[in-house]
Amino acid sequence: MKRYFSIYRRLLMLNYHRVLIHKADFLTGLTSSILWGIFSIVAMYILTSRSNSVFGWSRTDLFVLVGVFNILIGGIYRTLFSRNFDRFTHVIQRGELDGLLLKPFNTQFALSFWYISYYGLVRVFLAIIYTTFVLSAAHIAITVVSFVSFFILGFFGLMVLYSFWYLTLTCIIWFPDLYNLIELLYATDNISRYPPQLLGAMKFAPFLVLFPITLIVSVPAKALLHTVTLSDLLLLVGIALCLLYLSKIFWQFALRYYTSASG
Amino acid sequence: MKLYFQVAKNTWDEMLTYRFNFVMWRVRNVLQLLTVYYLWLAVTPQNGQIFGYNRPLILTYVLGATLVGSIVFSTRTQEMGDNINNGDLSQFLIRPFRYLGYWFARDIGDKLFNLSFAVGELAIFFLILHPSLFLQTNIAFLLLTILAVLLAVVMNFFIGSLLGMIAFWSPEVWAPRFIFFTLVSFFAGGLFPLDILPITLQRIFALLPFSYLGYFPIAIYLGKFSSTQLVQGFCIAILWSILLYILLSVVWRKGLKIYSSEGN
Repeated sequence: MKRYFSIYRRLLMLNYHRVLIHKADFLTGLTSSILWGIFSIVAMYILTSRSNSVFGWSRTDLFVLVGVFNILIGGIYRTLFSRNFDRFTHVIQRGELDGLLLKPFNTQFALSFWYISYYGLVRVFLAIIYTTFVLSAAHIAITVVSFVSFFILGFFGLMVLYSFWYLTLTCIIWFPDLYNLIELLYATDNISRYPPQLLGAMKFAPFLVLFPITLIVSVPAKALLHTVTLSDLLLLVGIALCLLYLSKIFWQFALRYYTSASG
Repeated sequence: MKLYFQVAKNTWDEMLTYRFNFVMWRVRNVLQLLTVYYLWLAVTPQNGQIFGYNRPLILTYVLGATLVGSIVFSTRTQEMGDNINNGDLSQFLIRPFRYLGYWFARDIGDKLFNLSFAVGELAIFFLILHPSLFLQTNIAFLLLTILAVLLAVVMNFFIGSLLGMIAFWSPEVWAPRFIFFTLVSFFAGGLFPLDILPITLQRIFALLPFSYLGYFPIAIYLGKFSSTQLVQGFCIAILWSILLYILLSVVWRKGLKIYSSEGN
């Protein structure tokens, strides 16, 4: 574990140097990240301007939901993982996974943590300010309990999202040309910014596989709104741990079928 | 013309080759369609109005935005930047067709393929969900809608090509393209009708090309414009198409002068 922390510290430094070299990249990523954050808030504002409640969530609840989405997914997840998953197809299709398999550390770690998009941290910061403002305007106190609950549930929410992406993208081992799978996963992320009841309203059984996605943002948001229940907590933590274990097992299984670029 | 038709057909065949990949793209689009549809269904009162739109109108707008988006925004012009950066443009310059004509033909092949699936998906959508929608019966409005969509296709092609030609000056093409499409997804009316915004913003958007890529065709279909507004809208859209074409021609000529065929 100490070795992996040391490797990750080195990766943080290398990615920081990359930002200094490719400043235009950083500025572009930052601009589009902030724009997406603003659009998500404006869209929610417009959607709720004539309704006091949507799927049982009040206007304040929905604004907090959007804020938490921007913290967890738009900010933290995009910072730590998105760029790594974006290159998944590339790595497998071009046989670059060979080099990662030969390295003296876990391949899943190498694939998941290699790149860091620092511009996402700005969005996290702005989203925290926005969410704090919404909560204070609605006179909802941020207590130590709600903050710690949010932090822990946010961590498990991110674990669900990471595991879901990793499980799904592992299929690229068998279908290396499936680069649109990443586009599909970005679309599924977007569902998490709306109440979980939206998935139920769709009444389309295959979409039930997306049920874990609906918990990623909603449960931590409920922690801030003081409405989280024990069943929410147990469901999120249980699903997170199961999915993480499955992603690891499935990846190990899939590697047996990896045939490199010549396969 | 036969040559460009063959290019479009090859693009169609290419998409059929990677079928599963294309299915993923369509599943993504269906998911987005259903998300937006059920959201607006939840916020729109059954017998009331929201921003001057009753339920059939707003749901028609949402579905129309999806259909128009699948036609207008499906494009191959992102490959132009790679072509220029890795020197493959050299091969095209010695071939007996126009480079931009080639990419337009590829765009048409891509759009027709996406359109055929979008129509099928919407048909299944209607059969299963029976949404209450607005059906335009005025032939003039229907024809004008088609004309507006064709103008949007041409404008989006010019814009996409301009973004691709940034490659003549910079290896980083994805970044400006990414920001542009982030803005377009909002300002083209993909999320909500632009006429719900304050009147000052509406007037500004009416002068920019973005609203003609999505909102304008759908609003024509919904009968939202008077004759004067239709004429004004089409004049502005045609003017933007001409301006973009002139700009594209200038950028293409200047780009070719500095093109060094690196990597080839």
